Amino acid sequence: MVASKGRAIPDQAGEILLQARDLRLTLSGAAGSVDILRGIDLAVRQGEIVAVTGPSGSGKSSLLAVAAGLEPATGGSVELLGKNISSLNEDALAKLRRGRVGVIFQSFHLLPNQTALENVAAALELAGEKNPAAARKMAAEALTRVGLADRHGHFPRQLSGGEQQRVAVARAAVVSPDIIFADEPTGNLDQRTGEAVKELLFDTVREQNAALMLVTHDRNLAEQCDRMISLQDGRIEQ
Amino acid sequence: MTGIRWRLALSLAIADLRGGAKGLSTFITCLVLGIFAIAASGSASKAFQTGLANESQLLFGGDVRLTFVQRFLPAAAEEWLADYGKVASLVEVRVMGQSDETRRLVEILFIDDNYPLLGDLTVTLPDGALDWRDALRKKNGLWGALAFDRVFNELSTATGGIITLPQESVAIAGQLLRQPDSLTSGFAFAPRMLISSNALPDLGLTDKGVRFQSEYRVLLNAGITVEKFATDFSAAWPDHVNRLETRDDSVGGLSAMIGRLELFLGFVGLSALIAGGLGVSAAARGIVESRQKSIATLKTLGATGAEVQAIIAFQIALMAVIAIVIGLIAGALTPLGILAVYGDQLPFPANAAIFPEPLIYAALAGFVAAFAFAAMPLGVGRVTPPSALFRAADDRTPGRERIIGLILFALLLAIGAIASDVPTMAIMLGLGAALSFFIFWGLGKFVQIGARILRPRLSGFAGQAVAGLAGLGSLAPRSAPALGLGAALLFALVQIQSNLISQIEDIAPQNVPSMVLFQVPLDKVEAVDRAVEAAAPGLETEDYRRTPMISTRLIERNGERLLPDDMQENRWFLEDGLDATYVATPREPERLVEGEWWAADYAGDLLVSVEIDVAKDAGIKVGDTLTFEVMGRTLEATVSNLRTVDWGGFGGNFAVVFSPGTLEAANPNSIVLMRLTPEQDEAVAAAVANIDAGITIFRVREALDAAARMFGKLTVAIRVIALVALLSGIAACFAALTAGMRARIYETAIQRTLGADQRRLVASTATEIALTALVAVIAGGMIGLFAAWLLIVEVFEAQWIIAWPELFSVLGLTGLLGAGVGAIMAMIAAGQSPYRILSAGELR
Repeated sequence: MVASKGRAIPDQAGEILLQARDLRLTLSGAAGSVDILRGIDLAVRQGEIVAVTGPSGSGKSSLLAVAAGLEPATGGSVELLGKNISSLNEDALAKLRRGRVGVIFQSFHLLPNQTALENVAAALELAGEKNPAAARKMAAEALTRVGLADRHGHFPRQLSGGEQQRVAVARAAVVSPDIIFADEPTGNLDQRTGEAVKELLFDTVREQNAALMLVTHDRNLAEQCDRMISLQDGRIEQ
Repeated sequence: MTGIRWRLALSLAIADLRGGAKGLSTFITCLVLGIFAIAASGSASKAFQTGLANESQLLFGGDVRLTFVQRFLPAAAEEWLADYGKVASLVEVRVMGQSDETRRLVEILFIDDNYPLLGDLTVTLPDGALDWRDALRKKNGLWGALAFDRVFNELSTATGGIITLPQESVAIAGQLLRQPDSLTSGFAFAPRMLISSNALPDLGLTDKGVRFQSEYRVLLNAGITVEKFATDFSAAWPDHVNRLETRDDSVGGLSAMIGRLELFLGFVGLSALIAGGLGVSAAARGIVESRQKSIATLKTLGATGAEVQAIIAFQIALMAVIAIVIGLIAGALTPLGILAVYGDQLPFPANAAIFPEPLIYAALAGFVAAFAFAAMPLGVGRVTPPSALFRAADDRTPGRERIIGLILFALLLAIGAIASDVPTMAIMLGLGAALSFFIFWGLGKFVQIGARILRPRLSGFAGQAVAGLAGLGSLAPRSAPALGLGAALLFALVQIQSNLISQIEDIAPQNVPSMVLFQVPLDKVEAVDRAVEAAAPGLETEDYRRTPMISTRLIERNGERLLPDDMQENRWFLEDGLDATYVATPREPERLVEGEWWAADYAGDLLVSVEIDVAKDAGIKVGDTLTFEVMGRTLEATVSNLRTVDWGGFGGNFAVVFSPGTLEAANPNSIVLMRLTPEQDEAVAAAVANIDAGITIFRVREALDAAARMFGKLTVAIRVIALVALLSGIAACFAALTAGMRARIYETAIQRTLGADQRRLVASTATEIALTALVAVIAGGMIGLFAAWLLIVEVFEAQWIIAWPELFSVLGLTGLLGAGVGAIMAMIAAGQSPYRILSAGELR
């Protein structure tokens, strides 16, 4: 366990939101099998910001995908929000994520045919908000919070990379999730924009007392997290 | 699909549709073409059907027709007819007409004052003329005639001109534009004129030697049915029961012709929908693929597979509705358009209206087709995992959607079968298309595997092209089905059209003579032989046949009366005007089936040889005594033998052949059949004309040309609709290639960053597509030819020929199209900014 500079581990440890035991991922292809994750044990608690670092190909993004239920593990178990997701099918996983799990990607992955406002509102509606007007109002507030008050009607292709990532943060945060998974959220951004997005993300997580699992190869960013897990060849580096 | 939040799915679907429209427009285009073809062909068929039904009485010129050859009804029988309704009597003869130096066969219809019973003639009369009835009166010693423009063209004359008939002349008093009943009067083999029947005694055309047909038309009084009339007539005039036609019989015959046309139109419509469906499938796959990351993102946000599927299904339903509206509007307007453009030229009436029935069918078929062909891509959308955001997802169709697709396809076939007059054709077409699909897919795989083997041996752009074919994103297996089926459709349509037209243009002239001389007097036959030998020297025996021809009627078998109604299939055998001949030595003795031929020098009692099928139908056996009526006299003949006849072969084919020695006394005329070159036609006609004015010369070639021209007009309308089917095929090919090109555009972008030049990229991509197209087109051509053969031989029951020029044209066209499309797509791919393509999150 490594504490980040200037920030202590929360005084009272919250409940465990994510628990991985002996987690394994092996991908099979025409050229043979590749072991991506080789027995990971990991726990993330409420209110915790955990950085996952490591060189390219070490398995950081795969760990995030498996932990968020985006990719099924081939061995071990993952307990997310109190449920063992290893036995859940795609639809059950989707239902589990609704409103409780936020995911942010390096490549943003906004819905290209929907405006910034609609992208954020879509997350709310999928999370169970039945009133479209209310969803749009909350989405507008979320966008205002990330500094995009004047960009509601813009489509992703009309936004800069930093703006798109801010929409992605708003989309992930608007449903007040218990845990956010962020895969290189600043990887495609310049230093200044990246710093702004990081501040936004951290503030949002703190405000909502959520957990954040952040994949990054940026050592500086990782050191600002509550703790840091370093991966090497699919294993946690001791 | 429980737990789906439909409203949310709908709002997300609509929001998503506002974006890029590349895949969507292809989807709509393909579906519109298919729906349009079905709606247009169905509406056109309905327009013809109802046009015919509405006007059947007018077209037939009454309710009942009685026809006799070489005789009239007795005056008492005519009076009897008048009690049942209004009667018009007509006489038809074909004689040679001459205007200055031009002599041509003309068809004359003598009409009485009651003609036409329904409707009116459309004529153009010179200034000052009162009406057409006045124009027909005798003026300045000459009877007036109304003539169709073919008379003007073929006899080089005009209104006011004089036409000399065998005994008297007539003056052309006006131009005849349309007879209300011309459609059911049979095809006019010679240019037609109308003359008053009051002129008959003066013109003497029903005298001995001239073949004529008398006809009585009755417009029945209210309350009298056709059946009652037929029963009463048979009872009152048993000796005059000959050919009795009702308007339903006659219009029924026309209906059969239109039925064949409908069959072809139905084939075109269904083919277009299936070809369009392939385009729909490819476009839907493209839509799902291009939205893969969106789908995965939605799943990341908590959407279930079923909800994602609902979102895409809503989009497809919405596009289907748009396509249906466009397709139906265009399809409903097609018959109106055809009538506006070709109305005057169509050989039968068409009803300009909008018909709901074919439109409902087209809408239903279109909607089912949209989902039948989009079912599998929808399945891919359903199972796309969230991990597709960072790793290539498996794009195999899940089993559930394969089954749903098959069920919907079966439903589509069922709709096609229910709506079609020939359900088996619809089912065979659908199953054939499905089978072909798998054949083409297999061929595509074969090409891919072949390319993998070849790849290490090739370099340069050929190597790149083969690498593309061999790769995971190979265009071959995904494009080959649409390309192949499109090509199959193209080949089938062109071959079917060519075959139908060739029936008249090519096949007929091989077996029918190019010229026929009728009414050659017995004492002039040698003069005719000499004249033909001089005009067309060296004419082979098989191209020149001369034989006596007598018009007769079989009335009794072994003293028992025979009536046309007694026959199962061959009524004509017992009707008036049964043509017969006599010979000493049979031309084809080997056709004997039963009995014996008479000796060449036979001179005993009259013997007769009868064609075996009609003999069986009439219960005639060897040894029976048959009684014939020949020129008002009765003759008895003993059946000597039964034989077969090649009805389709060249030469005078007679069901009845008498022994020599008896009929010569009647001094019968002869018929001469010749196969000549067009140049010889002129020379022979000129030479024969000088021998005897009574000889009628019938130029078959001209009549066939006229028939071909008429058919040609009809095919123009068919071609318009067929063209839509072809466009569907081409659109399907485009859709398949476009869908496949998405991956290729990405590869091209990478190759460009690696330094590949545009020329090289265009060449390799074009080669890849052209190779795929070549294999698919050749296989498609074979399948298309087979489908056309099946339709022509089995459904149309016509003779099959391969239209080689069209075959190679289509082959070349599709090959060029494939390479051309390849080059264009490659240029588009190579012309895009690699940076934009590589940096874009989604390929649009």
